[in-house]
Amino acid sequence: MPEKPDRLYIDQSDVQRFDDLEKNVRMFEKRQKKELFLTAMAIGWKNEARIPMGKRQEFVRMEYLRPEDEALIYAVAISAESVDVLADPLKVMQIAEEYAHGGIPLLIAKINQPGSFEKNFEKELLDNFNELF
Amino acid sequence: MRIDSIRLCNFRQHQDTFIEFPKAQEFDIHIMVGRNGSGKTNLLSAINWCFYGKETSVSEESEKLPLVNVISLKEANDKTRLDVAVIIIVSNEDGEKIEFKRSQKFFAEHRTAKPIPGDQEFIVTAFIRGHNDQVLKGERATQKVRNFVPERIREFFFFDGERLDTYFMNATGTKIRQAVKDISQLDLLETLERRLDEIHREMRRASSDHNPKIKELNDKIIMREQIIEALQAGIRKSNSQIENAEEQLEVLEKKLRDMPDVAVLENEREKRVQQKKNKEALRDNKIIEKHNILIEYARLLFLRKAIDSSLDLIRGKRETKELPPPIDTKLLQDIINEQICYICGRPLDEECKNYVCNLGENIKQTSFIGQQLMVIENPLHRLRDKSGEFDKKNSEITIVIAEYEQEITAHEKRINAIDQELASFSLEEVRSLQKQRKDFETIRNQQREKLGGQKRDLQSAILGKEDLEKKHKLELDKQEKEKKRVQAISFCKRAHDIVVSTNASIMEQIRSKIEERTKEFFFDLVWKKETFKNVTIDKQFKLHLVDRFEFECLGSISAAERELMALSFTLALHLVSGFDSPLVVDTPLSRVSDDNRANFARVLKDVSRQKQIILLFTFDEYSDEVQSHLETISASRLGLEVLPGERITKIGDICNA
Repeated sequence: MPEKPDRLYIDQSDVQRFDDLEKNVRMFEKRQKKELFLTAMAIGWKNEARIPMGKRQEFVRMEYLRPEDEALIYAVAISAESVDVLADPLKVMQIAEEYAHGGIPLLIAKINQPGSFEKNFEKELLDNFNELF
Repeated sequence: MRIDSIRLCNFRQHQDTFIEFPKAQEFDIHIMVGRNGSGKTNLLSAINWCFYGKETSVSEESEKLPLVNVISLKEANDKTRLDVAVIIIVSNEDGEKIEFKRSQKFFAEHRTAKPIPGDQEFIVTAFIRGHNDQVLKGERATQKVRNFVPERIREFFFFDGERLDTYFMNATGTKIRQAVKDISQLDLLETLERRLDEIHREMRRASSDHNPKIKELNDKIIMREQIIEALQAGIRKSNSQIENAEEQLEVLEKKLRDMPDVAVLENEREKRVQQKKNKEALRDNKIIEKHNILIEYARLLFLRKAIDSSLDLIRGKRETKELPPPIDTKLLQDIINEQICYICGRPLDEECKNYVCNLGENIKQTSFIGQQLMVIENPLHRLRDKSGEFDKKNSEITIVIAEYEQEITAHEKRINAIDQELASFSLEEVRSLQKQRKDFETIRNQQREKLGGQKRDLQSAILGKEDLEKKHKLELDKQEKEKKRVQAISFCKRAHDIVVSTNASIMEQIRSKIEERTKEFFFDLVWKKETFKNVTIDKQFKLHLVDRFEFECLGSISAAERELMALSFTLALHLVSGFDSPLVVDTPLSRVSDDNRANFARVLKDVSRQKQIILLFTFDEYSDEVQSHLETISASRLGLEVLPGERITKIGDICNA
């Protein structure tokens, strides 16, 4: 049985971005690292922004993830490749990391847009919700 | 008595003014109209100067100018003597006339220097039919003025409408009571009361000359009288202090009326600031909750399609039996181990045992991928279900935050309003006035308490004195030779008591009638008839206005309503007292609104059937409503016109003024 990796990584070039996010954006203040990672990954997946990683930097230990968090990572990997990717847990995590790498600059761009980020973000979610339901 | 004419020579801007007030058949009302500065107030001032030797209601500007007309002064040659004179002729119903003339010489040293005033001369000439003209000077002349309008009560006859607003501030119960006595001419009874008391005491003292027991009783009575006098003096002092405190309180209330109650406002501000802080903390917590929702649901909504496709894949695999049914593997293992159905509780039969074991085997043999899919299946279901709740959760929290925001904004607005209110006043001044108010309230309350004790002591002293007087009388009765004296003392005592009770009874009747007439006039004058319920005058002659909620409201009514109340009271005082001297009012409607003006004109018209009324209006006051009531019935209508240079007034037609 293939072994599960014990942590998630981010690209070295994103370290500062995640750091700034947590320090400077009110909505992300005092957030757990996994929340930042999953948000970036979701934005990356939504926008089909999967970018291969350069130099990697440890970011989240897997033990902090709940089953729901892991399920999301798996769902992303399945939809990005195929169900067979589940045979390689390392690959599953890698795919998630690549979407997070693609998503973080998009999140930063949203934050830097004019107007209130919180309001814009809320509106985007509501639009998304209305589209889905 | 009425004023027939007034002549003013060199009196301020009246270089040579003659005004006649002809008597009409029905209404003795006279209208004079002029713009501000045309000499109306100086006319009122001239009346006061003529009768009492001093002016009233003089503006600051006029105070800087000499009494003598400045044009006459300019025209005068050096060292010229200028005469200022005011001559007022009054008449009574019998047609007898009295001329009051006050004059004063002014010496103009130089046309630029202030003129030097000489002595005043006051001459009264009485023209009585069938007798020689009587020329009176000094005290006899002053006595004639007292018969017309005593100086002490002149403010009830010749007054300035603009000052009516402060009427009740200056007129305390004692002052009004004294004015009522003066106007009603009760001084004679008071003199009689005092004299009878003196005679009574003197007789009682004389009766004790030859009898030691009577002397002892008399000494005790004298001592008791001294105690009573001291107590009465104490009561007067307390009453005076209470009145003074109330007078000061009224002044302070008037000043504080438009000022904020600093202590209350600061207290409210402090509470508001704290409440705002609390609400902000609650709002911030809710904002954090909202952020949690946004972040949590962002990944659910953004990844919803990935979740759906994974769940579709799992469902497909289960349909093709690539995946076993979704079973709790631990539960399955427990059933196999215990050989009991955990659902129905019965032991497993052979068929069931085989089925459960095969199922367990299938699950064990499922591929690693299949197992991974089974692990993520339930969490993905939960996430998919949850993602549909975003709208509801987000709106609920958004509403709560908005409610907090509203409350915070309301607090902010009120805090700003308080800040603005406090910023527009000197807080030190307000605090100082409030402290003064508190101090005077304390004084008033202390004195009221003290007064209660003094009254009880007085009552007891009077009873004691009456007891001693009875004993004194019994002793006197025993002595045959003192019989006549006893009768005289009894007579004096009874006469004194009758005068006292008559005096009190007349005052009570007057009070009651003034109260009734004031109420009638006020409700006739005021247009807000529903707002007010009653007007009362208490035993101390203090006026009270009660609103429909039974609250005392004289202190809080508008300036116009206060003026109407003052006028009502004055008119009532005039009518009840029977004092028939005229009423001269300068700017009577200065503070009265249009709604009340017509009522005012109608009431004065009625009063002018019994009393001469001279009204000095501005053009603004002499509105159409007022004209419609007074124009046709007035006995005379004159205009005051200021000639170019603004230093000389000319009397003429209203239209030319």
